[in-house]
Amino acid sequence: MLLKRLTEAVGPSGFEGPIRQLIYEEVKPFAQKIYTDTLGSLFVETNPEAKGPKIMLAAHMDEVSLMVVGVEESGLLRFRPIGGVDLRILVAKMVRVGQKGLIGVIGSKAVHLQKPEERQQPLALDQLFIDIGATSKEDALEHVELGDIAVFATEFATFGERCAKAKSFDDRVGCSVLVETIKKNFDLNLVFAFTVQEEIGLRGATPAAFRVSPDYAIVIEGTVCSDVAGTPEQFHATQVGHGPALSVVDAKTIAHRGFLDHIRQVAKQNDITYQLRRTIGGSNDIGAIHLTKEGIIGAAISVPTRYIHAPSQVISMDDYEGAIALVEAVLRRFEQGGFIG
Amino acid sequence: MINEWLTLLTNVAAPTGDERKRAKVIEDQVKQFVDEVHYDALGNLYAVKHAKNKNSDHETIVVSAHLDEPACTIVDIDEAGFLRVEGIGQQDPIAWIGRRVRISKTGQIGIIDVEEQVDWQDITFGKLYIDLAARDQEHAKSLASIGDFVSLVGEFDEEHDDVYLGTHLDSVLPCALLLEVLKTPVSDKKVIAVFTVQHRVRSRGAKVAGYQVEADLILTLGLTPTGDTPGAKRSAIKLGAGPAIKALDGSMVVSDRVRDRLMEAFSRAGVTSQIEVAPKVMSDTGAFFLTKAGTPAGGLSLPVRHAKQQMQIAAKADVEALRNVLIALIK
Repeated sequence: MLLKRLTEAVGPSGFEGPIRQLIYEEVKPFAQKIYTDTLGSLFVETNPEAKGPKIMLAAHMDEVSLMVVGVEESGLLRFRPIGGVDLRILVAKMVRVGQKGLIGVIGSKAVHLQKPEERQQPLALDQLFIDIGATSKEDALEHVELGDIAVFATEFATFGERCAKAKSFDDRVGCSVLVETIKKNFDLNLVFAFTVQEEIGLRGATPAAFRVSPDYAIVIEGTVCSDVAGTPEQFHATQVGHGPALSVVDAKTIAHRGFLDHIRQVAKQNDITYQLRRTIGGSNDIGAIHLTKEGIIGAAISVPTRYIHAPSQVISMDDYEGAIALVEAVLRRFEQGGFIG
Repeated sequence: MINEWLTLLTNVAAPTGDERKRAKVIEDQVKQFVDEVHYDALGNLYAVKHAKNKNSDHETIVVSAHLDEPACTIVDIDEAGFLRVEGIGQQDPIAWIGRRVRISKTGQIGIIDVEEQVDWQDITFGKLYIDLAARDQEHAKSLASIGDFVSLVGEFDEEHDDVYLGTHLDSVLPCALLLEVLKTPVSDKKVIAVFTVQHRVRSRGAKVAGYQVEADLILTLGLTPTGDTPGAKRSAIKLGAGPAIKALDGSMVVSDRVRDRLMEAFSRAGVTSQIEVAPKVMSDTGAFFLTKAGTPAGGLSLPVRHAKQQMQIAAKADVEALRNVLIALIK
């Protein structure tokens, strides 16, 4: 299953090689042009000769992760997060370290040895380490190098009522929507951009949009969702199972009102359930894309993701399929002359 | 005439991110004075006056003013019919409490209040709600929707002889002044007026507007807080003591060359200047300055009292003086 392969692939910010290779092999048969840029974003053009507007669809390949920055005499690894990781969720989780994908377990001092005041505080970086089963510093350094990355070792699975869990739905779910869209035929000049380094400040999207210089851009994301116990409804942001979420305002973008209204209308006409993203926090690649050059009309379509940036993230397959359907519906409308904005 | 522009602009809201209505009003007015009007993808409005002598190697001067004013967006409509909001951009939720607000899409008017028994220092936008006097959730949903923008019901007081007093003078006053200046015929310079959007979210409109225009000089019109009120932060700026030439703000340091040129325009217009040193003030100037390979940019600011509130006071003498300086610059 595509979503399983994409979410289980390795691709920390700045180290997107494995996930990029996987996507490259998956989409190559459908591409007329396929290339990367200096930062490592992957571009796929399916129909560059088509007339009409140039439309860029973007999803980021990178995931939040850890980097090995030191080795203790005992062989335990010290690390730092790459991207926004809540340190409180790390202890006792399994990770895969380095190119070889070594098994590692994130450990800390045993709870019965922690002082009462230590137990009151979440574990800080200096209290956490990755245990790769090494017996000494020398032993550890035979298997890892400083600067190696570690990713969560979560396997994809579907469960319950149309739910799925995996690491890195943010934003492999977006990559997956793009790949599924690449496989369809459109009489449109589409440029698919699988961007790098989103999690550390939308760095890949800036040169990607500058290169493509599209008339319209749509970003597909896995977005924050807090529809869980203890959260009043006004702070839910999005709700799992209520359809793909359209952004109105986030920390980096205020949606283009005309294009947003257009997408809502297309969703309604095609009976695709959608929701509005109800928080102003967080951001995605459209924040960089829409301010490129003379400004670009854009929108973000997101799949609500519970426990985002954590080892086990949860989405609804209905929302995922809804996002695929909505992207297709918007593109079909462009084929018919679409949005004039 | 500034009074009439202010009344016109204050009556139409321009929440950050949905400035279309105010832009349209300006577009309709400005058409009669300029050669060309257009918009870009973000909604920035451009009004162009071509140089009279098109063969000459003319200079292009851009003068900008921002359209937007503080806004909230609706994130939830609760069971009792109260609306929950988030503020857009950096702003103080306290400035909204007890004010009349308007839903941008429907025009509905309500009051913003804060939940009771919340300590002053704990007030966030999450504690505020809008009361549209709706009977229930369903009624409220017919008056407003999630994702709608909210702005203050504008007020402008025409009674004062010496000052302008009204809501969000920081956006309406520079826009009004720019409209007034555009009446002036130009000779050997091309003048582009840019009415920018999304100033309050770190000058996103200015960032793309700077890329759009080919300019020899970009000037931003804005307001700067005075230091002449009780307990005010240290600032040499006084109300009525003349428009200020920006030396630096939180977005940029102005080059000597641009500053000297502005000084020279002040002396030609016979206007006394003040110097604005406001490290915490954010303007569109910095976004223009960093466009492409860098563009000469400067700022001209009107001294204003109560800059952090939703309502301000500015001196008519300062506005008139700045008008004369701008005419000296573009003529």
